[in-house]
Amino acid sequence: MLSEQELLTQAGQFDTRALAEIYDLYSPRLYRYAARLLGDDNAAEDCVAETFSRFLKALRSGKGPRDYLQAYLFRAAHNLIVDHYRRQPVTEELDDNLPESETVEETAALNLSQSRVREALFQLTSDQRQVVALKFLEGWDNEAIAQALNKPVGAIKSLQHRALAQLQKLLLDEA
Amino acid sequence: MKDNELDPRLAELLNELKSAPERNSRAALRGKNKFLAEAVSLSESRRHSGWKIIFHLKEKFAMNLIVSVLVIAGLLFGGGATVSAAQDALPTDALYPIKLLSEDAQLWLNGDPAAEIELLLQQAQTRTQEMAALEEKGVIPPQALTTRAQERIHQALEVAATLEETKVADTLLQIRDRLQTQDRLLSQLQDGTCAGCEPALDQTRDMLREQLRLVEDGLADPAGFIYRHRNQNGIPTPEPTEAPVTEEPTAVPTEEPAAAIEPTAAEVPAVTPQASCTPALDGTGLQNGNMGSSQQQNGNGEPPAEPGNNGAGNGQQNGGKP
Repeated sequence: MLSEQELLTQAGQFDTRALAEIYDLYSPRLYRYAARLLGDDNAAEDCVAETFSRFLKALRSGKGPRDYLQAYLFRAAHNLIVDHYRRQPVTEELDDNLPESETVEETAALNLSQSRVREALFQLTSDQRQVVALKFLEGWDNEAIAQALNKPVGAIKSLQHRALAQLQKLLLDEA
Repeated sequence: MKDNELDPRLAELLNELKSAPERNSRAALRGKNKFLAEAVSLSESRRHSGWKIIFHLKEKFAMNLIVSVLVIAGLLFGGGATVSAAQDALPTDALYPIKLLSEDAQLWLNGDPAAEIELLLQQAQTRTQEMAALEEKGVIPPQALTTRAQERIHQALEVAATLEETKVADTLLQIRDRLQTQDRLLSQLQDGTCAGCEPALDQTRDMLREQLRLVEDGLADPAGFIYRHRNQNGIPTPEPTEAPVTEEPTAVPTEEPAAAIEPTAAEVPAVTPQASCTPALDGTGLQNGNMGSSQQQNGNGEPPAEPGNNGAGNGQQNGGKP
């Protein structure tokens, strides 16, 4: 398996093997990230497709990432998710993929709760939302988030503090 | 607020979002195929500029060519808009014949061998991309796509053989690169999602490998490549004696590849030019052309602690913004 740096170098030359490897490596994570925030598998798949399309166009114009590919891709995906939400705010949808043992009521309750959390997330600033999503949904550490947001670790901690306080107010205090 | 100060109730709510719907494998595959097809398409423009450098094509000439193609195609087919709209057509679409005719028109109007080769390869690659698009729709690619792609590649090789010998190797390298890219794209499609498409894809990949073998032969022996193709087309080779190309090898001058390839002249007495120009195949051409598909790298998809593998670096975080 090639290193990220080697992958990026070869991707810059439009080597389809390297590009396929990049897609295989990152598209599942990007899909999951988008699906969690959008709550819609089709929209998540569209987000992944557009993220990789923009990546290709950036490579062609010579403005692609030189390193930190994962951070670059998640940043691109997050921007698309925000754009999507602006156009079409999150809506409650039934998830067909839940286990059959769950009752309709349980499914509806979960969807409702998920939708409520998403709505709260999208009331945060873009940076706050990205910090919360990467930290508590994707499990990234502060250093990795700092790379994705192009900010120092201290700023990430500050964003996280304010984001959690705001979420607590929106989801717990007002409940 | 530190990480461990997260309110347990808030943590529980955030955890609920972690149950993302499972990704549809077919949708994921379609996305990958689309991504790779777009990559191939975008790489064409980059390669095209490379061709221009190699053969010193002038921008003015290229623009004149484009304008000529648009004007004449417009006159021929009733409007530039129709021709333009046809460019995305698939064999199942009504506009597809117009697309093919416009491709032919582009070739008719082309007087430069290097640009003609580029066009031919681009058109062959378009057939491959059409196969990918059809496969994505679950439609079996028609045999005509393979046939037309093969014709274009064959024509490209024929034109390459008319170039000066010093340019042939570079041109063959470009052709090889394009064929390998097409082969890789097709290999990505062979994932079992369209079982009925497999024979057509297999046949096309076999064709590409065969063409790659010819290219590899040419790279190993450019002079022999020129000789063979000109011989096949009845084009006199640039020999001082102006001997017919069907003459015995003894009539071939020193630039004839047989002398350069074979260890000693004594080992290859009285062989035909065809045989002497064709190095023994050792499978390298096939190996180069058959890169196979990349494997899934990370099935579980869990993110690492760092976005990249080089977390220590900090000087180029802004290498590119999406």
